[in-house]
Amino acid sequence: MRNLIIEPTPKTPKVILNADINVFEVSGRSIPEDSVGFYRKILDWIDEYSKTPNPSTNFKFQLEYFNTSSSKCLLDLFRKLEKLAKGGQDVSITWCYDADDEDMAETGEDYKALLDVSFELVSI
Amino acid sequence: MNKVTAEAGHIEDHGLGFTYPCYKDMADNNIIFAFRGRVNSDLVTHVLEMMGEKLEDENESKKVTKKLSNVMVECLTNVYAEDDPALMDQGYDPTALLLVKKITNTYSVITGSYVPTRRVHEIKGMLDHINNLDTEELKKYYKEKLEEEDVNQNGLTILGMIDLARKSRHNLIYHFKHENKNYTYFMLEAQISTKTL
Repeated sequence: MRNLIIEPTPKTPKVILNADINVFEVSGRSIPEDSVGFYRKILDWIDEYSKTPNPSTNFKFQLEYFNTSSSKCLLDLFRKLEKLAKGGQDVSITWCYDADDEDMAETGEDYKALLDVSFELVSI
Repeated sequence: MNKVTAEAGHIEDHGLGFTYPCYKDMADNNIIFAFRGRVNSDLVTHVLEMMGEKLEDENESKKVTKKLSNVMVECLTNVYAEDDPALMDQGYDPTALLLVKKITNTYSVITGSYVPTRRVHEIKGMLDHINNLDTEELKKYYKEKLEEEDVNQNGLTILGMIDLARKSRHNLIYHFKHENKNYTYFMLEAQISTKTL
């Protein structure tokens, strides 16, 4: 399948979704005015990927900060990964946060509590 | 060159007379950053960069800088989420005000913007409800709202306000200045104590 690579901007994150090398990463800032439009491309890509997933899938998130509408979109994204895991696939999520950013750590804990998928918090 | 008017005996201000009181007000209220204009996500990025540089110059800790940035993102996001295009035809000022002040160990992020008067009761109720919740209740409420499907703009505003209260770890301070039946000026303050960081 085609990879999805989105270069970062001051208000949108870098996205690398490359099934060939098994790298799935979202990093940077996420404060777009149209969060739904931005994340739609990622959600559609995951739908397509879910048809023939790799034996193991680890999604890594390393966000600097994000707005409220992005937080909803991220949950939608996590739900898709959770669905894939519930279907018997080996899926995990890694939530990386700056050691000085207690809010990002707390947000990761909130998501972890809401999800039924391997969700690891990593302080960097 | 300035002229001294015979009657008043003072130097003409060339329309700049407001500047000193403006400066004095800001200085007396410990305002360290001020902006007035339309808010969008580009502006949020620029403001964060400027504040980041300012805090770095003042040798503020990374934890405080992070916390202040997170709170400012929420405050500004709420301002542009509340920017109601329906009011544009009613002659209201679409600009928002952002102020950051610092008094000893407390930073305050203050926003001011117009909201439709019909929404005042609803916003007040939402903020009073949030201010009555303790840390654990806020966390639970946040998760409930995050999980709600088909969220409209109002739902996002509630989620943003809960997030703001959680991040600031203080009650949100607010005030409304009624202007007319169409719009009201809404002022919101989120405080951050650096002592607990």
